[in-house]
Amino acid sequence: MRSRMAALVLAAILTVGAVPAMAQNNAPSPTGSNPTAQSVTEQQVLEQLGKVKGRGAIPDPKEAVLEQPQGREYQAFHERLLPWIGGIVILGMLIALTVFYLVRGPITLDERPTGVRIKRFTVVERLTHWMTAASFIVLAITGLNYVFGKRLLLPLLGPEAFSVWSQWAKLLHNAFVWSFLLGVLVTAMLWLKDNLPDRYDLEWLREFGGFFSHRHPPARRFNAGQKLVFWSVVIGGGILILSGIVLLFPISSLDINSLQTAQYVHAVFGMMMIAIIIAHIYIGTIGMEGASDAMVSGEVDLAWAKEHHRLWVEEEGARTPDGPQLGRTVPAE
Amino acid sequence: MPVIVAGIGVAIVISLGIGYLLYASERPPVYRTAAAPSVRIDHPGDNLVGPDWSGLYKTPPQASEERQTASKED
Amino acid sequence: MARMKFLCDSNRCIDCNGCVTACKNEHDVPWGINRRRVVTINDGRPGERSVSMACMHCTEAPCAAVCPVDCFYTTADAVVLHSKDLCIGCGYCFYACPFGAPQYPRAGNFGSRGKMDKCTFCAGGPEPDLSKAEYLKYGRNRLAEGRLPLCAEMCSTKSLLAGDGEIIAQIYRERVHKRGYGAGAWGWQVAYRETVTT
Repeated sequence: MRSRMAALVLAAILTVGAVPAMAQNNAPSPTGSNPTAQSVTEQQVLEQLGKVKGRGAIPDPKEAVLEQPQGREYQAFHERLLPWIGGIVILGMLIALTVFYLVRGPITLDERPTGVRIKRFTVVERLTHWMTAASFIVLAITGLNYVFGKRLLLPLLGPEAFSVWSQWAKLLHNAFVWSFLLGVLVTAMLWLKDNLPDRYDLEWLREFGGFFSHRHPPARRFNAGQKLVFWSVVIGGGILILSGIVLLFPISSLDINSLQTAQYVHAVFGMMMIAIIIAHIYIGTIGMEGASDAMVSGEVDLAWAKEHHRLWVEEEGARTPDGPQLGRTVPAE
Repeated sequence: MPVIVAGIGVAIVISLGIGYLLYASERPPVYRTAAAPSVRIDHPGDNLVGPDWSGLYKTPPQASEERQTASKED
Repeated sequence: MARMKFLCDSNRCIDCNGCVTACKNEHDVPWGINRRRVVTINDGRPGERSVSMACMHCTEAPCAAVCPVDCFYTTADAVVLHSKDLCIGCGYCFYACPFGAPQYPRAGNFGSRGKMDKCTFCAGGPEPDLSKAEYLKYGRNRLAEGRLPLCAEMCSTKSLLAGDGEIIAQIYRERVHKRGYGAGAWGWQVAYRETVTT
């Protein structure tokens, strides 16, 4: 659409003939004629088409682009905007979590543990989770090296050692995509149904999970907070994988601008995902008593389950993919 | 605990395995992939009609051209 | 100190590719690497324009800024060079370069582009000047011999000028004044953030 419009405008201009003469700065030529009066100028082409493309002797179409000023925009994004985004999002999350831990403390079990353990996650679910998690950690660290490595690590390691580390970081980043992809797909398959929004989610979110009110809004197998993490991983992770694969196979996108766009998307979503997962790691380890048990051993105390996922216990019989494990109990309260 | 180690192990095996397979696969030099059919970059000395003027172009041997490209690559 | 620049007078460029041939020959550039190339706009139509393009050695070079391993450096003559030993072949410099100067020897799928290569303004690289190692990796170092880049020296119409920015801008200005027209210095606004006023 833009190129058609540009062609029309260009045709109009050349017909009128005014702009070429104005666009070239000149005194009247000695012979009175300018043999290149009909040619375009750099200014014209950049204004109309955004970049300068032509034809060359080289078969590779990327080499036929003479000038793409979007490279300067890429420089500004990558060196000024992106480190700020990353710094604010990641450091901000760390600071917020620290404040939360100091003010609220870990979320402890109000009732006494019954000693009865029920199954929370099956082996397959846990294996998938840890495979995805390990892949994400490697991808996050090696990915952050592209942005912050030269700022933070290079002064410590020196140029040669840092280059060797960065070379390996690049290879690891490109390799761990595949296990991350498998992990995200299997995670989506396993938990999609349990993460669909239900009528208890709004209340859970309104009370902020009861973190500050010391109440326990009811939830099924996954509460609204967990559902947010799930959808962030599936959608955010999916976008990261897709944009990353575009960057991984630059032959496939013949246009330099689409590669730049893929990079913008990949970098911004990467930073956001790192912040979200930091919060997820917090709540799963020190943030909540008994949470890590669920994903490490696969079992939780019945009191914990009733407190944090009451409807899962009472209405669904603490169902896992292996089936319900308790009979449908009459609500106690 | 064992499931964590197993998860990490599966991730490493899958990713390094696929990574190695992709990395060790043929990475042709750019003059092979980015060349148009009209641009045949090999075997100077054979003209377009073939070495015996038959009009048939034979596929040249690989060895001679690989020897020439030594320094500036990689 | 000189501030080295390239200026291609597109009113004179005839797309002979003499600059391309000179560069490839002088530095033993492998097949597929195009340190310098000529791009023709409106090829075959009235108003055809050809411009010879290689690395412009920009002010605040975008390639140098985005490199994750900081393998670029700028010499005292403002020539932008890089170290192939530190380069990890990630390709960021290619995304950032407005002129498409970075070249990679491998076909690049799966992040395996190989080490970046580009026009060096005939100024070699971080290896010792005029050493064999420097020639093998970066090509001939003409600046260390007190000479100017060969592409401009070989240009058949003297459309491609290389040297101190002030001097070549002045040459261009005089040309434009004498013949009465000039399409401007292509790429100067993006590379050096200034244009040649005529």
